[in-house]
Amino acid sequence: MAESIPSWANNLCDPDYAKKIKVISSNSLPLPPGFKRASITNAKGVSKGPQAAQKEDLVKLVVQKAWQIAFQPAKSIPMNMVVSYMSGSSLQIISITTAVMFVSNPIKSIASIRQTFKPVQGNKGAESQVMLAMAIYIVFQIILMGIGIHKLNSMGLIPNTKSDWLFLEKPTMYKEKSYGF
Amino acid sequence: MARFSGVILGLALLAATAFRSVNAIFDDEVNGIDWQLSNIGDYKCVVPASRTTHNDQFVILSDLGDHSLLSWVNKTNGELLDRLPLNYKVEDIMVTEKNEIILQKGDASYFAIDSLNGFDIQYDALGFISSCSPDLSLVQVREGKLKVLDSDKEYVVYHRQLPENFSGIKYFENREDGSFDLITSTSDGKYQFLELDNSNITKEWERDESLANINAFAFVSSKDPLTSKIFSEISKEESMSVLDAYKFRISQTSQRLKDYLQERKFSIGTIFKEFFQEDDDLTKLHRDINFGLLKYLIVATDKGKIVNLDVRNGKQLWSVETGLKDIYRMEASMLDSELFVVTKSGLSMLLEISAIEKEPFILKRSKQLDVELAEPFDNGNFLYVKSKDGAKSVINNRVTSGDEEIYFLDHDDKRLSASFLKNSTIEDTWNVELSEDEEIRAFSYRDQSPVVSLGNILGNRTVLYKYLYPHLAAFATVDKSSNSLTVRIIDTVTGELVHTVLHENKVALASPINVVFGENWCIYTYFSIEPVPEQKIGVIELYESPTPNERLSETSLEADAISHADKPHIIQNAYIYPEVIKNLALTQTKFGITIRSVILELENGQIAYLPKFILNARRVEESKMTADDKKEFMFSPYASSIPINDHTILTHHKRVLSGPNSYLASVPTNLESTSIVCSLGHDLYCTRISPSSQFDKLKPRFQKGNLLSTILGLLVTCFFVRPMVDTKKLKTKWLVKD
Repeated sequence: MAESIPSWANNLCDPDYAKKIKVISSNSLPLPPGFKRASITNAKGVSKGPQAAQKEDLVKLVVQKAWQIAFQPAKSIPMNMVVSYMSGSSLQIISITTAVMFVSNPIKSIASIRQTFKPVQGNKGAESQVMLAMAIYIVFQIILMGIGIHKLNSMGLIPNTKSDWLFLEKPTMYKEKSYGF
Repeated sequence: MARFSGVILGLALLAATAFRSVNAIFDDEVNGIDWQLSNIGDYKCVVPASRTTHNDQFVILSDLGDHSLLSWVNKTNGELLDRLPLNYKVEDIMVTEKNEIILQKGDASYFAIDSLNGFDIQYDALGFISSCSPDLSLVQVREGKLKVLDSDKEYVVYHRQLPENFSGIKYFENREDGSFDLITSTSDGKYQFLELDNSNITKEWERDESLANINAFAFVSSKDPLTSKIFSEISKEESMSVLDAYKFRISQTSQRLKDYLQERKFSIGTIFKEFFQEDDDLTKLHRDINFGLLKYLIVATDKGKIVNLDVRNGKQLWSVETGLKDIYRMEASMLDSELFVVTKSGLSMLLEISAIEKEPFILKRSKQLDVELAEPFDNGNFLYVKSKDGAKSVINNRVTSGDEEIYFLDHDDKRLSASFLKNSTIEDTWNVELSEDEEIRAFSYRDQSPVVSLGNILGNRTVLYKYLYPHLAAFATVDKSSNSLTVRIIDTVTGELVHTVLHENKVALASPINVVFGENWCIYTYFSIEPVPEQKIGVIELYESPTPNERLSETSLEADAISHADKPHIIQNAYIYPEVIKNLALTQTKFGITIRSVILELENGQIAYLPKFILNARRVEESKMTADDKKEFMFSPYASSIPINDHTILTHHKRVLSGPNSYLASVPTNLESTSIVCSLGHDLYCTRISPSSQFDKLKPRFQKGNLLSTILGLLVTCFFVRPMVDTKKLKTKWLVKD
């Protein structure tokens, strides 16, 4: 190759490059005007009051976050309703896939509920609240699924009527034979 | 460079497929699937169409049922040019110098038509001299020889040996220049024409009229070795376990593939060539056998001739003269290996037809008393015979278990008579006698083909259950005193009257009345004068209950017809049709999944069909239709008159003169979509019908070339593009610029 190798690539391959870089400690720099250096040693000695408050704050925050996650599917309910209304009940590949997705997505979401709520789990104090949020989340997902099922039903794709099972019914057999001329 | 060439090649191939010739708009099968034998019948009188010397047409008078038929025939080649059915009987005709044909009726009244175009013209009564009896003073028929003398009766101008079955001279015209025309006939219904000029034959042709007026018919399927092989394989599979059956099927199929490749010596070129070239006759024949389109139509004429025709093209395969002029039923039995022939006079014959393309031989002859009615049933294995004195019997053609209970219902003009067979003895059960003025004009036993669906599925996905009781028959009677029509539906086992419809609107008694009975519906046609003279079609439908989703019939496996008590819920409707309907028939398909259609033979010589969903008794006016009704399959609002759609005319430009005693028959093929329809009478006409379009068959013009070349084009494009994409990916990984 005629082209020169970029310098950063050279630096990347050089194992001693990192050692050569000059590091300036932030402690040695002067503070900007109006700022005081906080004393870390001081904070350790202070009573546990503010720490508990901080913990409570964390629980509050976690619960808030959990509810946020729980209400996420609710936001898409109106959207899904509009989409399912607009796509019509004619049997076309697009509307069928949309309807099937309306049903399958909530199932997937419910299956991966732990994954969704992972950021807010592991906090003992918030556990009950998070569980409640999870339950609400499931309820919303079921509502979403309901929209999909309603859609499929209105398209006639759910075999829930007698006509869907007519082929299984047997006609009455008569033991006599008859002929007419 | 490689990239460009690859893309260009791919695009060129795609373009080639897109710009290939546009295919025909008209279905190229239309003229290939139907045929017609246009018959004239027995020549009663042959006259020249014109008295001028350059006349090149004959006008032939013959019978069409009780009326007369005039036919124009090309003198040069014997081709039928035109036919004019008359609605009266002509006894004698005369051709005038002014090219008029004067027709004399039996009551010595006269009509005149133009002999060149068949138009009615004014006729001023002049002296009538028949043109029908040719002047045979110059012709001698002696000792099986025909001699023509010159005008001085001194020399023999022409002589020829006559065939054994010579029956007469139909036409002889001697012109001044010594040339003459001669038409002779033979007793087997053939007519020979000769034109002689200076003792040289200048024109010669023969017309075969022996197939006019069919009395009885039977259809025989061709045997397909492949189908029977597959059948035996499937029956073998049934006795195996699922896994073994699967293995067996795979081995059979791979064996077939191997045989196919071996036959073509593993040459891809041969296979491709075969794929693209037009099918040869042998492949076509195999396909027709496979699809069940090849059937043999065996017909018996009123002269006792039994003829085997190929139902695809009307070609005669063999014919036998039986001398039985009153053949009345024919039925193929024993897996189409025997043909059972029944005559009115009580003679019956069993013909061996297992080698269907070879002439048959007689296996057995038997004689009963003078029969009034003889009907084969159960695939021709039994014969129900009713003698003139009313005694009934059942004749077994073979030994079967005799403990079955069989009920019979037969009818004539005046009565219905039911009987019951058990342990080989037959007992009368009940009969219906009509009053003096009444007369049965049409009778139809319920169609016994298997039921596919137990109910009609409504728009809101509920089910309206059909009344599927099998022992039903419908008959139409007319009352001569009040000009009324009564259609009755009757239980053939108990004799119970299920439903009656009475029409008192001056029914035209002379016009045809027809009834057909499908699975849970009955369609009848009649012509009535009031309120407006119109052809009417009535539809009666029988349901278990008016409430959807309510099933009243038992679901248990076997029920008893005698104790059967459910009454049907009846819906009926009527329609108006623009043409007079002469004959009705139902389409038959192999599994009955295709939409049932009614075939209508019209008085004007056309054959049309109407799908059952048009003749629906549940149709209502649009204002009364609910949103759910509109969702029902093929449900349309009620409109009293049914127009004739050009697409439903099966005969397209042809005109079928079937005469008054014709048969309209439909037989299934191996293709579920397709049924063969034949009208047999004075003329013979057969075609194929697909009431729900040909869903199981590719069009003969299917663009397999386009399809294959598109796939090939895409493959080639992939072949070139793939290495390019790979190089590109590699270069990106290695951060290399092009």
